[in-house]
Amino acid sequence: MQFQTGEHNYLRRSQAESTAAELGCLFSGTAPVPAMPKGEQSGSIPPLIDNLEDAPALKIIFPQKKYEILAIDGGSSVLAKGGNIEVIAWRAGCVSFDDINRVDEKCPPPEILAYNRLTVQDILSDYLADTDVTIVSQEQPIRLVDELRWLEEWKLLSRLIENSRPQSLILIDGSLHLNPLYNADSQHGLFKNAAEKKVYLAAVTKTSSLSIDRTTPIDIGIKNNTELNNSIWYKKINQKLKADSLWLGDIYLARLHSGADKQYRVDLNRFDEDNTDEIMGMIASVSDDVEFAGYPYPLAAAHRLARIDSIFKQDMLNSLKIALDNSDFSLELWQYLTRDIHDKLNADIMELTHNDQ
Amino acid sequence: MTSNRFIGRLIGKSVSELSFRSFYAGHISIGSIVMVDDDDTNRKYLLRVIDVSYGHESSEANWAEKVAGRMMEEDQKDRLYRIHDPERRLYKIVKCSPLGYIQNNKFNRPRSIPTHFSPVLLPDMETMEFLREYSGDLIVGYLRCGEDTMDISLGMDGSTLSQHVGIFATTGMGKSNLMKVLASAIMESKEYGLLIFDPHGEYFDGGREADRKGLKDHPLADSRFFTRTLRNLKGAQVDKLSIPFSEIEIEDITQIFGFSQAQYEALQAIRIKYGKEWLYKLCTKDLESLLEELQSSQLSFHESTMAVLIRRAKRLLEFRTVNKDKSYSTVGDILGKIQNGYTVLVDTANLSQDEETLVTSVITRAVLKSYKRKYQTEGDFEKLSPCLIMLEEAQRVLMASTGDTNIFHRIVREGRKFKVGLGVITQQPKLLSEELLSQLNSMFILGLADERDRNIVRSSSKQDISSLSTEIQTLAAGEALLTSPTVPFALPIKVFLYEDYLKAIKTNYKQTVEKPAEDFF
Repeated sequence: MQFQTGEHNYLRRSQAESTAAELGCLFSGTAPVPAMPKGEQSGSIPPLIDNLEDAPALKIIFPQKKYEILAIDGGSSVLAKGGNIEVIAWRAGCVSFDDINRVDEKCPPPEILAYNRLTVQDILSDYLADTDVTIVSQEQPIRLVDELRWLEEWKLLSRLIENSRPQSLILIDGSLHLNPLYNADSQHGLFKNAAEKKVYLAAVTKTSSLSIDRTTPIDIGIKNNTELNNSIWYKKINQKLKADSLWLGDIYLARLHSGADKQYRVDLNRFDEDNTDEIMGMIASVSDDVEFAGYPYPLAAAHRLARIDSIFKQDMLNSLKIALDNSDFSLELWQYLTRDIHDKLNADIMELTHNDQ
Repeated sequence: MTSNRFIGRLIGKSVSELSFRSFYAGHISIGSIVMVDDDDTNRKYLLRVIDVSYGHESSEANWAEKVAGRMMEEDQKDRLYRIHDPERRLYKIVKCSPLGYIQNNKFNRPRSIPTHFSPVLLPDMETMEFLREYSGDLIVGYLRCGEDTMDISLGMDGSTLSQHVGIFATTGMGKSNLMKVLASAIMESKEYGLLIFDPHGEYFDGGREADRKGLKDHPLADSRFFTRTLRNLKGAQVDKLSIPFSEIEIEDITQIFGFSQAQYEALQAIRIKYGKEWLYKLCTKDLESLLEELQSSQLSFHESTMAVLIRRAKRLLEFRTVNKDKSYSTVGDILGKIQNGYTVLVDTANLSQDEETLVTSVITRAVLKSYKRKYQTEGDFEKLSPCLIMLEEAQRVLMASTGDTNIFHRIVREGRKFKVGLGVITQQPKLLSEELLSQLNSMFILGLADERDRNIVRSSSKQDISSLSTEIQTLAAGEALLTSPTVPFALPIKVFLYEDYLKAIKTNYKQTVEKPAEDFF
């Protein structure tokens, strides 16, 4: 077989066409998928209602007064790894807004840890020593850095609930799912406490994995079925939770700005269900930023505040290197930990890649 | 940094140009003077804002264009939106020209840059107090900071009047108002003589607009302000404008008529033969007797040459300001007043342009001649008040294309030595020669719309105002820049509105209206 230069860098038309057809099947629901489990399960979400598209949508009304709105997000990064050894960094930060103006922000420098992946349970136990959270699952977290970031956000959330004024809203990036690794009563306790203090909790998921009939993503698949097409609305999409349910939040789909590209999954504290209209109004009132229309701006601000980007990661690696230079740590070992053979292989296209971003 | 004067942090970049980041909501305009408080060196740097531009924190390519596009889309669909967190995401970049720094209450020229990220503040009174040292004795306005003013009165130093003054502005930018305020300051100083030629009739009573005031309304007008006019103006010290034939020289009529070489030589011959009576003779004698008289002195001219001269001389006789009676002359009267520090307005509003040119030339030349004569006389010259001759629409006699031989050019070249300064008022400085402009040591630059006007003024100024083109372009009515060797930098001034100025000073003069000395006349 003879190859011509560059012949490998293209996708055959037949391949593209067959993949396109497969995608069409996947989204049309003609491809077979396992049936949805019935009743409350121990997964990450409570069971959704049937006929999501037919569920009634309610108009969101903006609140008459201004509230303090806070937002939490975390950032994490694996700085170096080799074998079972990893160096990880994580943190959580928050911002608070008075209407469109940022009034405060808190974001500490990251925690940093070098560890052996065989000691994850011990690290988590140590980390939780001064909290009422206990590990109840024998399963290992997939990535320790993600778990520590989640716990850092959890701790920050606890502090904010404690210190916030009634009728403040705390926005959380992601969802209000129960973390199965830890005891449910402590997680429930925090959410109940928030509701008792009238501190509202809401989580917004940037890209939801939920889907209609396990195929079409809910954030684009479900359209509003009423005359509210050009308005802002929300609809509850999970089944009613039982009184003793373990779930932390009810799940809603919400279109938070009339010019939004899509609707978002919004989880509200299940113990605040009497205040849903008010809370949705509060969230929508900060979702009219022109750049992030339909997404709460404080969450975008928290994300940018807490993230550990590539420049900061490189900066931390440089600091580590300087510290190691003063010890008898082997340079060869450090290079082993930080070198990614892909970087070397892709060095010729790095510039092009950056330009393309 | 909680001070309400705090407006930003320094971000760059060199001794000749500094920039700072300012707040999104902060209002800062071109021409503002701001202060950099450098604690490390204990210096307070002063900067002048020369440009303001947008800045944003996003590193995303074309972010601003994309957001604007999104806004336009939302606008078209009548959807409401906002920009959240504006102070974090949006800001202004303010480009400045360094003026200098203050250390130990002394102003110094900038030769270094402030410490990185030094705070930038609106200047306080205490910092700007040093400017009072440069305020001069002829106050015309307040220190302007962008669109606001500070309570520091500024003006020009009267000692520089004889080094010539330029006042440049597009119509409606406040030339006449500035002129009236400056004339008032000169009147009040009692140190300097002022001669104003007013072709528009706006300085005596404010002109046609009913709510405008003129120099006659000044509390000192009755004692220190004199008007010579052919118009029927009501007021004390108003008298007839009259130029006797005997005061007119060849140089004056060459401003009106063009002469051939033969005609010019004939004029000189007549001037030599008849002395101060030359023009009178030219008008009153018939052609034949004139030719004969000249021939008797070995002066022979062609008949047609002489006929042209007689015709033109007779035309001068038609001018209402020109009279045959040499016993009465406005010129001597004017000279006496300005040499003693009074203000004289020569109202040429209803004169033809030729007549106006003649009057202006005769009087101006007489002033220079008189000061020159006194310069030769020891003792007399020191007693003379320096004087300023203000020339409206100066481009008509100082145009670069008309050469540089007339009396006004002479004053620009020689006047300084003899305490005679020329005030050049024009809305078209581009028509003046660069050499002439470079002789104007003080300039009041008001709003100039034409770029060529701005360019020539910038290149002729005694201060480096090369970076101030945008400021000059955006000056509002009544806003001025003063450049002069006696000020540390081009001073931004908000000129007093003359009518307000009168109200403010009238109380001061209520009790002290001064009369001229009895023996003065």
